[in-house]
Amino acid sequence: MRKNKEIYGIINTIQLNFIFVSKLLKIFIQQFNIVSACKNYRVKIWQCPNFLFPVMGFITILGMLTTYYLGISNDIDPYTVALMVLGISTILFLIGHFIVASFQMLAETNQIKSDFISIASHQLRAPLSSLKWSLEFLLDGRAGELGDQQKHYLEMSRQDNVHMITLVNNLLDVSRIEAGLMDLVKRPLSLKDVVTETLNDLAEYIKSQNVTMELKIDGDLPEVLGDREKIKMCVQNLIDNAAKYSLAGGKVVISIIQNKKFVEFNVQDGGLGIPKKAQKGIFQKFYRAENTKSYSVNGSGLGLFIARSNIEAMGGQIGFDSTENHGSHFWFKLPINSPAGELNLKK
Amino acid sequence: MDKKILFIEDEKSLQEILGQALKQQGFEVKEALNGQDGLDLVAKFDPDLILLDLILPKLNGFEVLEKIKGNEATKNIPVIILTNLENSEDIQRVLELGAFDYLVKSNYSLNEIINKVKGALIK
Repeated sequence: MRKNKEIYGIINTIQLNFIFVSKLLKIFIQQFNIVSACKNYRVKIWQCPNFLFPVMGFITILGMLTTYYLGISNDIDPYTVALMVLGISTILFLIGHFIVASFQMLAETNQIKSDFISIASHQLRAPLSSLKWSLEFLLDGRAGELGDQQKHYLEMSRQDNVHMITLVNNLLDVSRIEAGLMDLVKRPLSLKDVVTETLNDLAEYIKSQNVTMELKIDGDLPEVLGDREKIKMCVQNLIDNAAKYSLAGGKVVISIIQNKKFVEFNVQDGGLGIPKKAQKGIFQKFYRAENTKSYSVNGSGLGLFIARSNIEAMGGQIGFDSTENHGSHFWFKLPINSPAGELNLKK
Repeated sequence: MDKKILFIEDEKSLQEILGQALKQQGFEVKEALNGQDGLDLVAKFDPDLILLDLILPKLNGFEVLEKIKGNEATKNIPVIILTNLENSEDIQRVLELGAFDYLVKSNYSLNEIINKVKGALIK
């Protein structure tokens, strides 16, 4: 009877210990967000570095402690201890191998995704070009005069076609950025010229969005060093966003100023603004704030991701501040072209 | 006399539209659907300008360009590359091979391409 009680007590302690350890383990796993990270990677748990690393750490600590206690107790001979160390090292080596393999798998998955985007986008370009040219052919009256209604519908198709081409170009840019293949042609240039040129290109569009633009430019701005096309894309994107997310009749203020060793471009709108909790993700690819969706504003969530990659690659910075329902202020700044920069260019 | 343009492009729809638009501008246009036919036509047709795609069956655009520029008789004909490839490596390569210009099809309108063609013929 007493013996039974003793056994019951031991089992109870083991059970309690087990519950305690499993609770600790659960907290540990939650702490590092292992499960959700592995879910995000879309790999099984034993293929996931986030899981394998802690396991390796756990075994290392456990192994060391065991060896230490066995080592200081005199009951066990050194050969057995050495053998145990060897055994533990082998296990660690195997786990290390799994970790390398899991990294390799993640890298390959990423590569396949980039390749897929690139191939799909290139394949899409051929029919899109054909469509673009055909629509232009018709709209220019090269296949005979068109009535107003015919022109209206063709113009609608043309705009969608332009939209699709931009989307494909953006996807290709993203795959290039991710593959580290986005190369920039850095030259000294006037940011003011790029901005006025972009505003001219967008004049019709801005009108159609029913917003007014105000341009303020500091006199005598120095040249910046950057890639003209990429800067233009970024300016276009920020102005387009400001116009898109403005309310009808709204005003967008654009300014270019010198800020220490940088020239800074600013766009301020009084539109929808970005909710606080959405602000963190604004430069992530495919990210779109919740409040834009309900206004059915077109957008792919790629523009700002591309803009940030390009501006940072040119040695510049990009940022914003925004209050929901009061509008957003986006800015980027590019380094002034210094003699040292010119020197680097010539090398 | 009308200026002669050779248009080497394997997409039939693109060939037809741009070909037609160029003809309307008063150019004499001949088309080829693959690199080998294109190269044969360079000798027979003796064009004033060549529009060349890069991804082509039989002989790709790079090879065609290399052969045109490697031949004394044809090396002075301006070649405008019209493609959907856009890697800086490809651009660098064709410009080094002696291409006159490099245009990404989907980013240029018919009018812009016609103006580029006219510009290249004046030079």
